[in-house]
Order: sequence, then structure tokens, then C-alpha cells
Amino acid sequence: MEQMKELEIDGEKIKVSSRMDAVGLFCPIPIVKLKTVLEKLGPKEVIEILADDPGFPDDVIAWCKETNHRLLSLTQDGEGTFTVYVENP
Amino acid sequence: MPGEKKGLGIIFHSGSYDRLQHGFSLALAALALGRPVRLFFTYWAFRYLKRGEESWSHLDSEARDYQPVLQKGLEKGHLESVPEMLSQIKVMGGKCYACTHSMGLLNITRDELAEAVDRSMGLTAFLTETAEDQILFI
Repeated sequence: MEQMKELEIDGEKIKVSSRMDAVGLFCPIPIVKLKTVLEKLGPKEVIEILADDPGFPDDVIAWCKETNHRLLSLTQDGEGTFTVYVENP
Repeated sequence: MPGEKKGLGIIFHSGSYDRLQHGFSLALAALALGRPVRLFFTYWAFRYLKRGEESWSHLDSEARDYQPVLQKGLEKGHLESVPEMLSQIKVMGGKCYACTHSMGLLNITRDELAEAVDRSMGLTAFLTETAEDQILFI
């Protein structure tokens, strides 16, 4: 069984239930995949999603706000890939 | 319905692959936001609703030069194909309607239409159903 990734965000211990690589996928597919995976997870479960579509940060912020999901963290690495953690309500 | 989010209605007129791609992207984004989506297929967009139709050759003149770019995007997985997107739209609860006027004009019968089509209807019925929605014409 795959070990659940654990990390700390703003002093809070987070367990990642699912990881999704959306690198190379253009808008709106990363958001569509985000929704599809989160629907299958339970309350308070967290997904880690990677994407490099430049619109993704704004899209994910808007989507979380609109659908009552908690955006735990959004970072970008040197290659322009975003790593985002989203929690189910 | 009370509490339901503002819907998105899209009228597809063009048969150019890039326009369907774009319209389906809009539909998917709206569906991802929990908004109801209703698609109305008319005129040249009908080619995407006919069972077993290959649609790559249908690009309007302005898009034709970019076919290699679009093809590459598809092969590299940057884009999803129009049939895949339509499938996804249906999975997410989007509704697909066929325009009766266009069906008459183009001599298309109900059994020539893909499974994705929920029903056929006229403009009055469509406009009534989407009266509170945001409407786009593609």
C-alpha cells in the first residue's frame, strides 16, 4: 500500500490522500481533473496537484472560492511548475 | 431552482474543430464550477453529433493553417479531442440538445445522432430553459 505523503503547511500537519500530475495539460482540464478527483475523496481529504498552465493559479483560487474548497498552499518551482494542495470541505 | 448556480448555455453554429474545442472548454470550466450547462447544436456543428463521423478535416479557413499546431497539441496530450470532451461534458451532467430547424434543413434523423444527445428542441424551448443563464453563440 502506498504511503500517504505527509507535510506541514503553516504549522499544520497535512496528509495527502491523492496526487495528480496535470503538467502539460491546458486549461480547463487541470481544474476538471481536480474536481473529478476531489469528488471521489472524503471530507477534509487533501489532494496534491501539479500543473504548469500559466492560468492555473488564478483558476484554482477562483475554483476553490466558488466551490468552498480550502486552498492550503500554492507554490511554483524554478521550471514554472505549480504545486497546489486543496482540501475538501 | 433556488440555490442553483447561474447556468451556461452555448449555441454551436460553427463546424470548425477549433471552435467546438473552445466551446467545450468553456462548458467544462462551467461544469467544474458546479454550474449547469446546456449545449444547443445547430447548422455545421451537427457534424460532431453524427454517429461515427471523423471531424479532423473540418477546420474553417482561418484555422486551417494551424492544423499542425492543433494536431501536435492533441498528440502531446495538451488538448483533449472534441469527442473526449463531449464525453466528459456528459459525465459531468451537461445537457446536449439538437436543433430541430437544423435537423430539418440538413435532413438529419434522430437515429443518426450520437448517444450524447439528450433530445431535440426548437429555439423557443431552448431560450425558455436558459432564460436565467449566460448564453454564448459559437
